[in-house]
Amino acid sequence: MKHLCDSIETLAMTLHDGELAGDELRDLELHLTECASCRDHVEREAVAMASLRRRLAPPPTPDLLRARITRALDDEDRAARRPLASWLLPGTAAAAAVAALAVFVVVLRAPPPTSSVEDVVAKITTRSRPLEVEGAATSQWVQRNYDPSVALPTFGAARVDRWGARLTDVLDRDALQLYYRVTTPEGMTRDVQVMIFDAHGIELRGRRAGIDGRVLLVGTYRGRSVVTYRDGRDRAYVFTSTQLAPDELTALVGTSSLLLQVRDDERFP
Amino acid sequence: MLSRRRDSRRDFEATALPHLDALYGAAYRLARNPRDAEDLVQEALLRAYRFWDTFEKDSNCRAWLLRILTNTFINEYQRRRRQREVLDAATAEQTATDGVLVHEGAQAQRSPEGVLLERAVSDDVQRALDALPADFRTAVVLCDVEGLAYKEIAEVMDCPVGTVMSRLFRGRRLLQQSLAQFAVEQGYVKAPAAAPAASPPDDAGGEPAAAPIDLGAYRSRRPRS
Repeated sequence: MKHLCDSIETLAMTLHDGELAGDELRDLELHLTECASCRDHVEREAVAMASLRRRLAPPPTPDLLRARITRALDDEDRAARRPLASWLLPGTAAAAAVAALAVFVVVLRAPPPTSSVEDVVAKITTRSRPLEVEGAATSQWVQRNYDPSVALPTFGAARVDRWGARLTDVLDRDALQLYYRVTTPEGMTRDVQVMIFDAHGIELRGRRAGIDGRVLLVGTYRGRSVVTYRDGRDRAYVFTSTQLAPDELTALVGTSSLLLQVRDDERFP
Repeated sequence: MLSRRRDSRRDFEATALPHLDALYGAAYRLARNPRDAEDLVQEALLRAYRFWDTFEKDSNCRAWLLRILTNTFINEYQRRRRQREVLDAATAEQTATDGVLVHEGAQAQRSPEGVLLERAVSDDVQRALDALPADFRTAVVLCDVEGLAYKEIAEVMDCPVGTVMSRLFRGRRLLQQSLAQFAVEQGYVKAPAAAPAASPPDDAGGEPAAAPIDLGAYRSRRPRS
């Protein structure tokens, strides 16, 4: 049985991996009853392999991962649906889509214009990227990793849960990307993102809207409603949503904690 | 078209998502920390969803998903290694990034919480796994964490069964040697265990010069009954 002794490492491994069968398995089992050296080797390997497998056993899948995957698939679906949806919209939206197509045609012939910061933010928020923190730990994480002086927006008018956050950059400036989920009175959920960054020296654009004398800039970029607020420290808060119309998003931002403490010089003239 | 996409999503969720635990288990041992593992699973599942139309419905979905996951890992591993080489050469520090490719030093610098988390999960097994070449690590994880058969691993890794066996043998030996060494370093045992010899890891992921495991050689020597 020298050929079995010569191949005992191969045979022990395939035996413990459940890959040996038929005559080969019977031959080895018979050999192990006769050869103490090979039997010792196989037993040692069994112990070592069991120990290794025990140590390699991973922990359970985090509960939040399933929700995160579902959200990423939702984003993927939305991104795939958007071009078609724009054609299905009536009235002004359809006209806007035609205008966008016209712009597209022109852009093909002319150098691309410089993107507005709102457009850049809308582009970033279309990407599906993993969160770096989720749930209740978000606030503390932001203080540690972004800027301790940032007060995360809260909302007074609706049920709004802060989902999580990640760090990114806007026009080469560090930025914080926050994710919120709004639950409507009918029980529907709507996702809203907020991008926060230093807007010193950056022109913010949009239709000016006044809520209780406060200034907001409203627009639509890349199929997203975008509402921007600049605070007294020149910090921009850019709210975006694909599921809320611009006026709905404006109303939501109007209830945010950001606008509760406003200096006189920020008031809408 | 919308309805077709809805059907596809439903089908994907019913067929692919039940394998989430298997994907996370493999990703946890392939990646360096839980956060990277979650990113890896998400990236692999999004890729799978994008190419769901190409999945043959009567084939092994778990093996198909693991193949996407391991390919994603190996591509990422190679990119990280290249990035590390560039950064090491320039002794540069990458501070803020928006990508999935984050230099570990920069990542740690940016997130004290991340540093603590990584330290907490960086157990001996993970350290030993991290030191293995990607192909060895993948073979060990697919066999000893996922319980895949040699043939399935060969399909996932797109290589012959003999290569799988060789990578498994060497990967396990190197892991056992590292763990024994850590045990000595930490004072758990007095003397190094006499582990069977294995070639040092080839960081370029090359195959070993002489395979110690060869079922074909055994079969050629085995007398015919």
